[in-house]
Amino acid sequence: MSEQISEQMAESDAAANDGRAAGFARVEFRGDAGEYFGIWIVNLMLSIVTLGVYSAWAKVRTNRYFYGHTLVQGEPLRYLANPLQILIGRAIGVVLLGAYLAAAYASPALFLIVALAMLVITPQLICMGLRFKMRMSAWRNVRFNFRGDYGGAFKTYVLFPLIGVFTLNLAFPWVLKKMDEFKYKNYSYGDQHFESDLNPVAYYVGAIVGVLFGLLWFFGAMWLFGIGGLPTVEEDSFSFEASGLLEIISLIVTSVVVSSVFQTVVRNHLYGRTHIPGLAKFKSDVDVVKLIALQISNLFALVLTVGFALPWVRIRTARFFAEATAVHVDESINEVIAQMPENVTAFGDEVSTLFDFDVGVT
Amino acid sequence: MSTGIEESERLEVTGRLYPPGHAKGVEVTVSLLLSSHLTWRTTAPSLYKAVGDAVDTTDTTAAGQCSYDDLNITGRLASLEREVTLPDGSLLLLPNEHRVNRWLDRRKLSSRFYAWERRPRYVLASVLLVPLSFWMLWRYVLPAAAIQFAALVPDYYVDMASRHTLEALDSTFLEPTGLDQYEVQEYIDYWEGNLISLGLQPADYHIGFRNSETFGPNAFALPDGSIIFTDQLVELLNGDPDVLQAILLHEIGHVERHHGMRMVAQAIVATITVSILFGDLSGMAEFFVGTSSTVLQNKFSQELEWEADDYALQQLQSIPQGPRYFTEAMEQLAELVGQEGMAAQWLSSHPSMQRRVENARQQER
Repeated sequence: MSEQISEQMAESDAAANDGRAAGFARVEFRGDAGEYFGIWIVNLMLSIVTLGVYSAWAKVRTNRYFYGHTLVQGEPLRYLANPLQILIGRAIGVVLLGAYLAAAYASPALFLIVALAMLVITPQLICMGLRFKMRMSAWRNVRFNFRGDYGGAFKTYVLFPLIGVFTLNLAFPWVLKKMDEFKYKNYSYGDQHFESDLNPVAYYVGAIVGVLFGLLWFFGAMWLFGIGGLPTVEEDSFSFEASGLLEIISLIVTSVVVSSVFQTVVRNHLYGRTHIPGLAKFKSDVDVVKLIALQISNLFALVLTVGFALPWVRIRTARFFAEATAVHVDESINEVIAQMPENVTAFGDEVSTLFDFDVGVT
Repeated sequence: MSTGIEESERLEVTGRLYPPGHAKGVEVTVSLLLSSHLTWRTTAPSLYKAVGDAVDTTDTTAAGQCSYDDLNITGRLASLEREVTLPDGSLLLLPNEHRVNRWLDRRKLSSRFYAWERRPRYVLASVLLVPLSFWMLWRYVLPAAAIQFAALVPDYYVDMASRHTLEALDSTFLEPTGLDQYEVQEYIDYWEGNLISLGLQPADYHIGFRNSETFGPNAFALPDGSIIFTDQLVELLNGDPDVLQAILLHEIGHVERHHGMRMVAQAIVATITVSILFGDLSGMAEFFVGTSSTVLQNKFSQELEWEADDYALQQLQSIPQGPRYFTEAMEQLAELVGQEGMAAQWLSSHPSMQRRVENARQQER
């Protein structure tokens, strides 16, 4: 039945969609900082007044704002999560985190056991979290999905990082490549699977060039400002002895340079090598200098406004990455059909956020 | 086709309709009726031949209708297109227009949130209220809650936490003291006498000494009353029992005021609060919120240090020359640390030594 419909759709729309689907089209972001500021601050206020309960609704409205203002081929993304689902997930997550921290402070031995238990369930939580995030994202009435399983997540997020540690971090770019691969190879849009053919060389290039530029900048700054070496960390506190503000800023900028170079190289590679066969191709052309400028100005804006620039920072960052992304969508998009609905819970996503697992959906 | 009365009761708009689970949408003409019904019709009916609860399907048009109560209407947000899910799972996108919104929202709560998010009055009120409530939370609610929490923690948890922490430290950063046992006993006997005269119970505290290059000249207290001096501190203060006693009273202040458990409570609540209110951040925003939260944690920790200092200084008032010993201890430590910058102060869990010396000097008078 569905095949028949699809055929008809393809016929009737082949002509109409010709122009739009022909080439790559840049992703458009139409969010407005002033408008989002109102949403942000009012939602923050309501979350505080309701002792956190409203935060689930705030999360949905925020995500809906960002998704809804992101247009791919002129049509918006949509965020579909139900706030009540998120509230429940959040409540469970808070209880878990409270127990985890209580154990952590109670006894190093107990903490070791709890941490080990966390290590075992983390892959499951990551899978559930990614599945929820993708299932709650839709474009043109068809949802995305993630179908990674425990085994894959265990290898990617527990085993490989351990290898990374044992190789004195030399394997880490490779581990990061594996993480991206695990995500992108398991994404799907409706019944169509993503494919990703990543090359570890790009990750090594990103890391090495990043560190080189970072060092270049750092020593350049030291020479320029006459800063005398790295700050020394004192006993239990993080008190930097006689360290100037300049020194701290130099260190921050250095880390921005390193991470921006890496992110640029890897993102541009990742998007270029990822596609949905016969359906969509992606392209990313992040400009590294602009990214560094964006990050540093973001930080200054946040510091100077004691955080009130947060909405502006989020909007301009979203715009920056949207505009650095292009998508080519084939006419066969009209034939895509959603998969059977399945039950997903917000639990994994909420716990992952609370525990700050950095999985990141790029 | 329809009468004049019906025309005035209906609002006609153009929207986009996606059949259930399809990425392909068609343009539809939607009528929103006063009778709480919605009807749609499209001139590109092919899609709807076999899907959904379409009625009136012919070769040139498809049409359907449903009642307002069966619609799943997503709340209004900014100027985003209105999303309506029909009972069969079709997605209907309607323009965000005044008359459409009025028909869709009626008395919906979400439209009130939308209004708050837009109105300058509410935005401005929030701009004032958010920092104010953060400040109240920080200044009054959290500390009070932490005190309550600390009193509620069962003793066995406190004892276990302290014992295990000390065991872990002993097997890592701490080594047995280089002082001989007579020296140790001499200190303890001397201090116990003084503690009794101050009205304290020496049995509540377990005083010990350890050698530690890592910690350097330092002393710390655990919530169960264990108080540890490093040999390095004894050396720095020339083994003067009265000066060391000033430090002991500072540590007793931490124990008496339940600072250990208050720190735990505060850290747990702060972590969860930040995560819930600012959850999904990335890049510099995450860095900024993380750093701010560290700075605030340190501020809290510094306040506890002041509390312990004041506790010690107050106790020392009943000992001849008491506050003088405290000043001496602080001066020695200050010399060790040297000049501290402002940025360093924000990133430190302890108040600046210079200010602690000044505070102690004032108490001497």
